[in-house]
Amino acid sequence: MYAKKRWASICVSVLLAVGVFTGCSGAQSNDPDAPQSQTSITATADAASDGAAANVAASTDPFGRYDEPITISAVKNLGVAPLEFPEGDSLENNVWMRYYKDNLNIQIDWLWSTLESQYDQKVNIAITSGDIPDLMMLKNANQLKMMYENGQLYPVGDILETYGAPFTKEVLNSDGGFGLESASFDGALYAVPHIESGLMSSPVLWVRTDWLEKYSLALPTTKEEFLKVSEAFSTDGAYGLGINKDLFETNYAALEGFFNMHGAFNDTWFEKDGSLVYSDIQPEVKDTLEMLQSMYANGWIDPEFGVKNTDKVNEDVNAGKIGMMFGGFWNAVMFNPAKVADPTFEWMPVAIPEVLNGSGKAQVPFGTKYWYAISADCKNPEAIIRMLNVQLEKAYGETAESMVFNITPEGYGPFNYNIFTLEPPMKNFVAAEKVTKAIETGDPSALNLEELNYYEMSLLSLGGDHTNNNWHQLKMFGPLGSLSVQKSYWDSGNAVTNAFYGAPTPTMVEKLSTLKKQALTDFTAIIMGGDINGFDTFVSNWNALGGADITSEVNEWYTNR
Amino acid sequence: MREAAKMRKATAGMRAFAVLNYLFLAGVALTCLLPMVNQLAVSFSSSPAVSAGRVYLWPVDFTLESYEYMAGKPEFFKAFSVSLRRLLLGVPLSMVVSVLAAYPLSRQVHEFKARKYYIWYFIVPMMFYGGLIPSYMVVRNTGLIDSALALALPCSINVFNIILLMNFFRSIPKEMEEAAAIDGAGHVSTLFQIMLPVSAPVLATVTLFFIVNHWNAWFDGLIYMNSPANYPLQTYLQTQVVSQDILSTESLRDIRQIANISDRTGKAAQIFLAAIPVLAVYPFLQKHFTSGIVMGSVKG
Amino acid sequence: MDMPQKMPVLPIAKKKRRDAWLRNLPLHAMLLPAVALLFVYSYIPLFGNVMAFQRFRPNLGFFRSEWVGLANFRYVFALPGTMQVLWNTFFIAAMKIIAGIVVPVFVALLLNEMRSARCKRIVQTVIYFPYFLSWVVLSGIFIDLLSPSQGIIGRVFAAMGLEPVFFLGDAKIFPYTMVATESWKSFGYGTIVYLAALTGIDPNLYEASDIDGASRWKQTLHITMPGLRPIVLIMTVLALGNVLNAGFDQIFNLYSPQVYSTGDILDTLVYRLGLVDAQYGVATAVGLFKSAISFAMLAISYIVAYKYTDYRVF
Repeated sequence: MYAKKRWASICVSVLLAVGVFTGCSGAQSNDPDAPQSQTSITATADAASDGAAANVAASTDPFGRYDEPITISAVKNLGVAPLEFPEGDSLENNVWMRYYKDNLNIQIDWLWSTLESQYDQKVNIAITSGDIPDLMMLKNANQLKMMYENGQLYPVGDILETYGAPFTKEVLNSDGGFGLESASFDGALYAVPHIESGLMSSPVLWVRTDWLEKYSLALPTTKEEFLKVSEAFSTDGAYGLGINKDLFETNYAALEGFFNMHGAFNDTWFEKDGSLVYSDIQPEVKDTLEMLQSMYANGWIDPEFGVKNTDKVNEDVNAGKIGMMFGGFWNAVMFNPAKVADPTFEWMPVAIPEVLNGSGKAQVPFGTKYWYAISADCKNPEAIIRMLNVQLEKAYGETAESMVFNITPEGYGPFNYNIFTLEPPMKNFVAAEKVTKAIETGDPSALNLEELNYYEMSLLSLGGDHTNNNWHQLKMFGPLGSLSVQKSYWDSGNAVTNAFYGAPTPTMVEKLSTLKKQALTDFTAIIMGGDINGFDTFVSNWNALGGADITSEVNEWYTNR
Repeated sequence: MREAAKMRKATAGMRAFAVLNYLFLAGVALTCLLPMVNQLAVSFSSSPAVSAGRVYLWPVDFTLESYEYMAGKPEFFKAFSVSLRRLLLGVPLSMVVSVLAAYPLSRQVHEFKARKYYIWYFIVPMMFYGGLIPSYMVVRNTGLIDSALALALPCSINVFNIILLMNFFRSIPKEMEEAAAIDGAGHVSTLFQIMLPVSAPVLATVTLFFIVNHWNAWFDGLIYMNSPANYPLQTYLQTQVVSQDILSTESLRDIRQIANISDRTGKAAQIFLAAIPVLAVYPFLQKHFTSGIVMGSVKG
Repeated sequence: MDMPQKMPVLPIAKKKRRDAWLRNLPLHAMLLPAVALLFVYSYIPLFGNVMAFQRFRPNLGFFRSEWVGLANFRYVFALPGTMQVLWNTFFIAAMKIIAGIVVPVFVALLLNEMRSARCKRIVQTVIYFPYFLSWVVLSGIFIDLLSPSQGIIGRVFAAMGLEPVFFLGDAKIFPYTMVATESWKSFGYGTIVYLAALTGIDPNLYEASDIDGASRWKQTLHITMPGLRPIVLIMTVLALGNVLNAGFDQIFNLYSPQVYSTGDILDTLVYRLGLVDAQYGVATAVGLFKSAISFAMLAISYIVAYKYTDYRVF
């Protein structure tokens, strides 16, 4: 009897709990009992905005100040390392926060902050539990899509049109409008895209130039030369080409560049005969795999690459066991320690062989990788547009105070204290060009503070001091640096941009991870000596297991776009 | 005569066994020691040597750089103190609640009928987990987000530990309790005056398990704390040690930050320092394992 | 599962029952804190498992989200290779359970034979080290150690003229490598429980058998082993609850495309599904499936243990 009663009481409590749940999980609960710190903040924002509304409505000034203080809640992705602040400053109190307070009368309330590696997880919790801040950066397209489907996004098109400063609109449109399109659903804009140049994520070939000298070889520009160099480098326990077990997407000792050399691509949609096709199932991939297979058989690739992650490959690179690898423009940071230990250890970033002559094409991922989402329940969405205007203007606009808001002379990076970190997309390429020129002419007068920093570090490295990643900066921004290599793909018209930038299609959400895993398994098996015709089986499986559906969904998007 | 010969033979065999046993266990212990020694050596080596994979069991290019670097990193020590606070709050709480729960569960069914319902009530959560989001919502709705209690309360019950305690209590000879019952002792005094004094081995074990659980937990710190400044040590370490994300394309946003990633020597130093407290507690608690002998002597 | 108490229903019995209730009141009170904490932090979140049967939408909550019945389960099981994944998971987990009992018991018994208290303590402390290294760190060490060309083991094989074994790259061997490395990492920790149990064995029993002239081996067989039986039983029954936990951190850090065929497990599958999209319904479905199987295993093993050894494990 006792037990029965107890179960009854448990059931009642569960029902109560359910009540609590649905209340809280619904879009911004009105439950007065919900003990949330945000509730009170939103409340003050409410009260404030009611008072301010009249004034604000009257003014559409992109930089207009609110008469009454308003509060915007936000969350912060701190990046890969904790932020460093000048004495006395913090995330809550720094140049940006003070500027927002003084000039817009906007107070930022950071609900939470976390490092890059955990950010996605926290955002997922926020989205699913309904704890949506007024302003949140999203790192992947699925989150954006999820929030849209949940009705958690504020349609920003109108307020951006009304309150956006000309420079803001210029930057947001600087990629030809693709970024804005990626943040649109059913023709309406639902988030502010972060515009970046996808070119920065295109692969380059890193080559040990001290070995080239040793074997009297030239930098490889064709497949044949590439193979010749691979062979020459594969002596004394070293390997011509370094690759890691994940093959793609790591941007370090990866294979995208190798594919591009053969006119093949990885995970890219491109137009062929009028419709979009998926790169991984194209016949060029078969040739690419065949060449990898023969390199592996010749001992030009580490026979144990299949278990080595990027960390392990990096150890091999630093230990002088790898002669070439395809990777990102920033890869030199990974082997800067070996450069410090042995100044004769030298690498050079060069264009993927065959790309500059047009027989290969460099793949360029889509440039917008994250978005700024404004909550559907935000009381002052236009305030967020004003914050964006201020960020771009004070960091990069005509009245920019770069030394105050971007990088201080002491080396702090206030640009990162803001939630918005937009920048003109070609900024790094411009910097590389200017730094290179300054090094050649010896005249740094045209450089801004940020560029000056790269210039000075590069000079130190040229003078023999490779510590503090000086060498790494030289390899990116200096003469013949990796950024200028990437720029050459574009300038020569040999870059292929991923043509699909819509929200993930339904079948993608369900099947893409399985298909990618299959590609990885099958490609690895072929490289390690499996039957090359396994590729044909892979293609037919890919189509049968959802790939064909994805292709038709993508093409439907392509025609309706 | 024959008796003595048998004894001698037995001792010879035993001695051979003892030698082998020592050798075997020494070998086993060595394999367990090496990775830790490797981390220690890495922490004292220069970073070019480490990134070239040249460091095994002895530092290469000995340097204190990583420890100096750590000394200038208040976050590590902040996180360390959060973890200590968590231990001071969580372990006593867990111990009290668990001991109190284990005693009734150790009663025989005929004297405590509700036991069979309770025990399954305890077993079910061991197997079923509501998932991340619902757990987060409960912690949020009980107002614990960003507080030390969020780390101490939700994981204060470990059913496995309760079962260990319960079974130890059950193994205590009935005669002791019966004697106490005749003296008119109630449940509370039986627990505190009869059971606990002879339960040193299991109390030490369970305390250690709670310490380790609290010390090693990192995921709750991540989801329940609002800023890295409040992360306990293991959560902080997780953000430091797991660096794979750095290589993902999403991180290209800021080249300057990529250049600031702390290297493996610093990580190794942190891993080593983070393991010290629990390793230091262990031998201390371990002494109490042997005091279980008390139990036998009381019985006599 | 317990002795039915057949009592004549008499007025006196009623009074007795009330007395018993009063006498047991402190017992209920003692359980209250644990029961309350479990209720709030374990039972209420359990309700979240309804997501397994929904196409969960945060804005609609647990009640208004669309019910999809078993669609999430069907989805997972319809994915190509799920059956293989399930088998891999079960195989690795089962081997780990066995190794997780046998190895620590064995080491505890050997440690117990060590006469020198100091050596005993040193060994105990040292074998407990690896438990504190995360798989992220250990994976780096193991990839080196187990490399067929560079690793210590590979070199020993080569020196003996044997074909080196690719422990991490050979799909046939990979599951065993996982079992071996996992039990290496955690046996020191497991040993603690058995050592505590060993010290709980009444020393009088050994004294008595010494007088009878029983050998050390006989003592181990007739006193130590039976003394350990209850704890081994508990640990086994509880471990069976892990029958679908093959160890995400370890496998995620050590597997590679070459060994997907034998090394891919439920948790890595869910991780990949989660990477592409936060599919909570699917993830919850898998979790619930694991829980249900675990619970069934635990309940069965409990009943079997009770039936055959007459010992209530908990």
